[in-house]
Amino acid sequence: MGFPDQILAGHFRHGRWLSLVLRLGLYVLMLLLSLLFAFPLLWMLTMSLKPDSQQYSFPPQWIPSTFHLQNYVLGWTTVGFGHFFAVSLVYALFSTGGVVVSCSMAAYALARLRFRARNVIFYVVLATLMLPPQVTLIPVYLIFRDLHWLNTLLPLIVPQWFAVNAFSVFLLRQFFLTLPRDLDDAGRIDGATEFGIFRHIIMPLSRPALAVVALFQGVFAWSDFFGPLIYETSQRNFPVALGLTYFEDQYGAMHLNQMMAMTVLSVLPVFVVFFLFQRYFIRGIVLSGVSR
Amino acid sequence: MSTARVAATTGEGVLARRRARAAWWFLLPWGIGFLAFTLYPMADSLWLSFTNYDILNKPHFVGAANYASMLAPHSLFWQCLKVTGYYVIGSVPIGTSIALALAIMLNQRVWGEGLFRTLFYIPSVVSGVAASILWEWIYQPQFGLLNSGLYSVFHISNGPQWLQSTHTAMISLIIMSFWTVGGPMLIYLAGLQGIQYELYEAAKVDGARTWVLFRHITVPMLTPQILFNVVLGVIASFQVFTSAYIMTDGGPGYSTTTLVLYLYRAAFREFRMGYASAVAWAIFAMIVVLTALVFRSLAKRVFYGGE
Repeated sequence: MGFPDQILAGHFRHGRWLSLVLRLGLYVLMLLLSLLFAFPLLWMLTMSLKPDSQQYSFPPQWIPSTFHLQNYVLGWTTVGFGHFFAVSLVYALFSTGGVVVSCSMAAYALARLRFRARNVIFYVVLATLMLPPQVTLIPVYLIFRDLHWLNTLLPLIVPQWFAVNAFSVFLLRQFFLTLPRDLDDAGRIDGATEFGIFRHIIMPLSRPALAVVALFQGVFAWSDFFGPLIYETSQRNFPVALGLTYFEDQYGAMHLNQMMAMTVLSVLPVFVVFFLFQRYFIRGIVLSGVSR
Repeated sequence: MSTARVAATTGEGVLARRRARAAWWFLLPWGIGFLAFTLYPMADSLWLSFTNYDILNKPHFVGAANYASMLAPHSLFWQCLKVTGYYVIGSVPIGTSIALALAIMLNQRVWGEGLFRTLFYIPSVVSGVAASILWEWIYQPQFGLLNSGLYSVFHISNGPQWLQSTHTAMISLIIMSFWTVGGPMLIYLAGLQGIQYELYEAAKVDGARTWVLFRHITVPMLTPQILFNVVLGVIASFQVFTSAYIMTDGGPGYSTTTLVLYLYRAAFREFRMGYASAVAWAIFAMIVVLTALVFRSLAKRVFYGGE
């Protein structure tokens, strides 16, 4: 029997009819709520397809009379969205690579090697998890200014190669702890180096955890606004997030339909990734909640 | 000491030492990152908060002047603190409650659970910028989705001004935050699925009613997840920036100028880096205090049990 009736229906001693009615009510409620959650996205889609003449019509035209796919072409070309997408892709790929490599290295040491100060370092990692980024924001900005890295993508990517993402270190450490010890010992008996064990035994076994970490960083980088806002000043270094605000400032009020079209395109890659890897997403969120 | 020396001559000791040495190599990137991007910046930030620094001329020490002017009676800081507090109090309790309600509904093993879960969660993967731009136009008073809907359903032809009025701008940002409760919802859902059904069975035998089951089984068993979601919610909403920056730019007036927006303007618009550093430390201190308060009020009731 399992779980079905526990809170709403389960202990109704009033018979099956009431339970059926309640179940139906639950469906109606959930349908309405999911419609409420989906409505903004549906509205974004219809707005993106409206011809110029219907953009600001009131009373509203919920479904445009003709699907104006041209908005997508015009929006894409006026400010060069292709370039913004390329920048976002570079940011997402290179920062994700850094997180996967550097955070798993730190996590490996914390989970599977014995050395003095291991607990101290683990607590330091946990402490940095709590630190709000505003505290380090200005000095880090000044470091990159002195390196003449402002208005390049380096300030967004380079720190990720130094395991600054404490959450990923923590998550990977927890996962590495669950792998059986015998694996390492078998590798050591075969004369493998520590790096060999890490690279050829632990990493391949940790694909699910690495996928979670990579997905989170990839989506974060794709959506990141604050970092690019601080570091990128010229349009050629704008990722999609900044490109959208730029488009809004320049043409937003005049070409709402084109802007909505570009907003649709900006969320599309994340939606695709989410649908492909939903399992990993949900596992990652749940793991973060279990970590207490 | 001597046992260590003996061990070192044996094979196992060599292995242990090799492993310890390897550990430092594995931690090297983290160590550099920690020093360069956390420890040094923290120290520098603290020092800068006691200086005047306009980014062009060298910082010069001014004692606690930044803190004094930040905390002065007519400082804008208080307005920003009020706005931020309003946002935290408005969004966290209701947001986590909505997340819990959705999770309980999903947990009824209804047909299409996966589909509903996806529909409730999908807004949470929309980037902050895309969501902000979208909602900015949803709130547009003349033809936005919200007032259009009010007209279509209730024939209200002059709906609220939403973002354009000092009375409703912050409420609008809070309402928008409920659109992205998918993360906490999933955490609650996982927690609910970990509660043993026998607990409910036993209570039902004793004739307990729905509310009693919820109050005395569901809530106590979910306290770890509630604590987690409330703490993370408070920390995240205390740092709200993107929606306020894009949708209202802190306005109208200063009705949505949050603390982080205030810090951003001081640092990167007015180049008062010293003052902005002082604001950063104030934000840090308040987050620490708030987190401690949440822990003190909730942690005692947290029930880590079952096993």
